[in-house]
Amino acid sequence: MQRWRSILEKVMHTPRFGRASLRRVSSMIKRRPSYILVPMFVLVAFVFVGIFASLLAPHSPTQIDLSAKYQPPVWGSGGDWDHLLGTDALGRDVLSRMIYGARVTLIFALSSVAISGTVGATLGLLAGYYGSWVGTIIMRLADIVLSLPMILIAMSVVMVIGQSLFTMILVVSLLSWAGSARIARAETLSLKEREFVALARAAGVPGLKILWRHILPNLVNTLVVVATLSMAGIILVESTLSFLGVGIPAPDPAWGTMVSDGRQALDSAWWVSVFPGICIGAVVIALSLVGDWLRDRLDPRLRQV
Amino acid sequence: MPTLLEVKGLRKYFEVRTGGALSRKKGLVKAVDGVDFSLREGQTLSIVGESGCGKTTLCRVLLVLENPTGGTVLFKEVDAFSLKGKDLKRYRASVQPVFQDPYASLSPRLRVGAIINEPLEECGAFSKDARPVRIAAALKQVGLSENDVDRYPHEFSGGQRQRIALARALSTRPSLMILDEPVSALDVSVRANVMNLLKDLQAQYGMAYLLIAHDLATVRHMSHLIGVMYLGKMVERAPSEEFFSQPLHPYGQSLLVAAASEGYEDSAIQGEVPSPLNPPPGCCFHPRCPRAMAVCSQEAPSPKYVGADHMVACHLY
Repeated sequence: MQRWRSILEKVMHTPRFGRASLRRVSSMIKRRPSYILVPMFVLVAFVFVGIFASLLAPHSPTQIDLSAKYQPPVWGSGGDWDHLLGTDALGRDVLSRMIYGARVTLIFALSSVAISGTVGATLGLLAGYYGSWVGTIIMRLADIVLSLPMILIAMSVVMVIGQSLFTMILVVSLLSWAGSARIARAETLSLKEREFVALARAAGVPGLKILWRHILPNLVNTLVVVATLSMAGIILVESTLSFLGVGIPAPDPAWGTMVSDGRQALDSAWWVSVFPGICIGAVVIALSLVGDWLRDRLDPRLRQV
Repeated sequence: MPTLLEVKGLRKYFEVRTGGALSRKKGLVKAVDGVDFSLREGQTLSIVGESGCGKTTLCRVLLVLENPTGGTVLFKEVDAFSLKGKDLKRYRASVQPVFQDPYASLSPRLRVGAIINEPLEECGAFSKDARPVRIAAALKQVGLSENDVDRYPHEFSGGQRQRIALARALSTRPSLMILDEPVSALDVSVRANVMNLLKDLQAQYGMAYLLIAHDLATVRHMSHLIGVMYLGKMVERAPSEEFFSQPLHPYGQSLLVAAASEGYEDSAIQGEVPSPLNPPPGCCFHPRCPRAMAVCSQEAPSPKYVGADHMVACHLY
């Protein structure tokens, strides 16, 4: 009886993110090429700083101190250890604002990717599996969304609704789902012709169950790669919008806003723009490199069924 | 023994758009064009034919994955396409498939146990406690161990994967197994093992088999009935011994020669199967037939019986 119980347990547990996946991820990481260590470290640091921002920042990001206006970083003349990377036009600590900016960017990027990825994957799955007019409508919608200029629309929406983090996440998510939808649909189209799907239908498994049990788990690899790479783009979008003044509302810190604020003093107080700019670049490049590596590791395996 | 499966005049046509993407021209692919046979419990009917003759479409129709364009399929004297709900589930549990490609038949993200469990769960006839017992038993029946429930398909070889597919088909105790070229994708050395396993299982459980193959050598020792298909039509059907000793249709004769000879002899049929979109007029085999007559290009032959059970569709008879 005990033996049957344990077999039953194992049989019922269809794994997607179970122990088996964790084991595979850790073996993948162990077998990484050495060049991937740096970008992975950057991303880990990014997430860490974002989560523990309040513990790490030496100052409050919005505390104004006009007596310490445009103080240079610690190694410049007039700088001191109190403001490691200097201050901006209102005397706010650049380092603290960068740290809290990381948190804002992290929240924004993760939410947008999660929402657009889920919406896109679901629509792509349905379009690919059921096809016919449903699929056509979804794909034409995706085409339209892909052709829309995101920055312009974000600006227009913000002017109507008002600036806020929530607005931005909403707008960017609604405009970014098309990429993953297309990819999900393409994969689904090829997966549904495979014999194991025909066998499932011959066993009488209903359509939605087939999507959940057979098709979706085989899409996860590709979707992870798409999510990683699109996160890089989304962070750039957020930075651009903040730079243009329609992103995260002041005085909340955001890397793009900081770069924009520092523009008028670029020749004298360069540190206000440069340090947040380096952060944006580092995170985006790191995401792209890790995304490419993931694609190389994960996708060929998918073919190797 | 009662008739298990009776197929009469089965037709399955597909509409395809010929011409470019925007053209409205419609063509018709007559994948299955009038097939009759009946199968009793415990019998094996082997259907032989080249690629494109409609064998796989026949399988899909019999598995109720496609609706037929015409004809009837009677399983235990009930029309299979009139079944709904619980009756349909019972049909699906009784008629189980094994497909050709062992590398694509098993869902790569599911463990072996979950793969075998799927038809058990869907048919609703087995309780949660009974299923693991059936799964372990099915694995043992095909020569694998019950510890394999935990493992993933990619940990197994081709022959083993086909056995897992077989275990899945066996788990619901089907009365009919539809085997679509079960060994074609396996190494020659492994084929005999799997065919012998199939034969043993049939002796043990009295299942009927609809065995699709593209060569006769594989099926010789297992078949009770042989059916030869060409471009969607069944051109010859006979009890196994009668067919092997006296094939009547020229196509059937050439298949037998090909199976018997190891090399590529001159007596082999020349040419390739014509496109099913545009079958030749009259008898669809006449362009390649070494014994074609004038009437063969004008009139399609209707099936005739030579002897009690030997059906052939050819103007020679």
